[in-house]
Amino acid sequence: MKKLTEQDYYNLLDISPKASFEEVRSAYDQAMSIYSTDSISTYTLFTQKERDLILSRLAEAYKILTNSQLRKEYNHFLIESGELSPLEIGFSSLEDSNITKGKLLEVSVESLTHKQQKVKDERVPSDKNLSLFDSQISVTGKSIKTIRTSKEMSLEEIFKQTNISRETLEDIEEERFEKLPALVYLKGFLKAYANILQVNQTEMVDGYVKRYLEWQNTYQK
Amino acid sequence: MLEQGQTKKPRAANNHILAIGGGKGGTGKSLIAASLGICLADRGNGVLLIDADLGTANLHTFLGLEPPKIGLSSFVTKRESTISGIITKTGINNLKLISGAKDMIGIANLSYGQKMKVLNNIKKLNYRYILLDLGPGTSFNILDFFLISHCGILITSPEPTSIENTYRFTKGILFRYLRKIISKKVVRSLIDNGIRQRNGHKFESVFDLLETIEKIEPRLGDTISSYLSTLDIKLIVNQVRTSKDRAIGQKMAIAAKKYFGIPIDFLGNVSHDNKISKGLLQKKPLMAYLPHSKAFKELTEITQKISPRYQLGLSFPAD
Repeated sequence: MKKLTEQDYYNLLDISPKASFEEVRSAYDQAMSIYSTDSISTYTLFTQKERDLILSRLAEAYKILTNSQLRKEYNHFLIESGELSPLEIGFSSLEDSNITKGKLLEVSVESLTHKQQKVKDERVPSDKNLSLFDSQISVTGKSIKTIRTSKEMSLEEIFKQTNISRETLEDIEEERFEKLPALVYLKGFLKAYANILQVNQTEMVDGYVKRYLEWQNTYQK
Repeated sequence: MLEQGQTKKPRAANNHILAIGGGKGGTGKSLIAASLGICLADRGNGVLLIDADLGTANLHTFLGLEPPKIGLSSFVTKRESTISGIITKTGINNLKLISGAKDMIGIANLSYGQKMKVLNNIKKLNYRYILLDLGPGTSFNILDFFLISHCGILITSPEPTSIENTYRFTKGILFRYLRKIISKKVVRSLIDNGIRQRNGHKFESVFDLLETIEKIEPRLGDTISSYLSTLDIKLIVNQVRTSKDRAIGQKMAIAAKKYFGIPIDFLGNVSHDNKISKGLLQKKPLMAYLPHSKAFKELTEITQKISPRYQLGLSFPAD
């Protein structure tokens, strides 16, 4: 267990190293409402000295994690010091893993990096449109589950945020099509679910519905 | 280092002990204890309410009962030889009570032996749920009652003074817990000093203590972290009025987890309700007005979230 003021910025803000700028921002707002001097929820929990330290760390965290260049350097620093594995940073920061793994696979990674850079630039204005479903990966219950687990979200959390029951969420992920609700509801559920996962809504809904209809055509004739 | 088996002794009786505490008086601990008891009993569980608010017990009033003639002190003074002899009916199905009403003055200062006798006998009782309604403050007796439970529920109101006391109570629990699970003398005395001087900020935070411990016993820090992570402590914010009040509980849980390393589970809010204050004033039993209140609906939801998950279950070795 680490002292609050010594935790890395991701832990301090309670976000995944893969968090988008949007997520950093809302985590920062949440943290400020908890730790600011006039916050009633932490009244007397900290000494003024501790609180000042926490607040300045939070400001630092926000500054660095919302600046892609600074964040890259910070990730690199965390990897170097063994606090973070390159895998944890995931998709958007392949460049960093490249640094630690040396020049191996330079060519193939280079092209990927290029592609990533493009995706990264595009995501700055609106994270909601981020496509996590690569065109080669089709939308399946399994791929949805993979995205969810990679974000370290439990079904319980999804349930809490969307009010979709655990059973239905599980039926979606396990593709128990026969148990799923009527299409109109299913679409709504998928949309809400995509929203929480921060993946492209249309892509996820259309992709999954296509699969659902295929099943319906095969088994319900 | 840690006395194996000391903290996780298997329990003979299949009960789930919930302690309801928190530092401040007047935050509605007894009301919540009685209401949770009623809700749990209503779901068909055998429930025993114990009024452990030693010296100033009044749980019977919430149930609309005359002060029972027997109570905890009858057992402590050996007027009743068994703990089952002091259990009384409440007039509500599945709900029984050990009252503290007719307790002698000075019962709050239970001796160590008396405290152990009461604690050990409570643990053996065969009820699905045993609810301990604790008094205010952070005396060792109160902290120990909290720590023998499987799950401790902190009650706070949204007022700064109450929040302050809740954190003080949590800190008290933490120090008391560490003091009990760590047998190393040097660490124990360190904690004792920390407790005695905590107002002088000898250890400004729990982490200061852990840091000091780690310097003496490098590997103990991890052990302590893992012990802390198994504590089952929950939080209810009572008497909420505004949406701002409603946001406090979750934030307290996050801050406490980050600060103390204890996962505190926020159970929910209970609304301030004029029906309840009125009913209390008219000395009506809780059952007469509680089911019609907004608070009842919230408490029913909270009841559903209380499930035996982890066990605090400290058993105390002879000091």
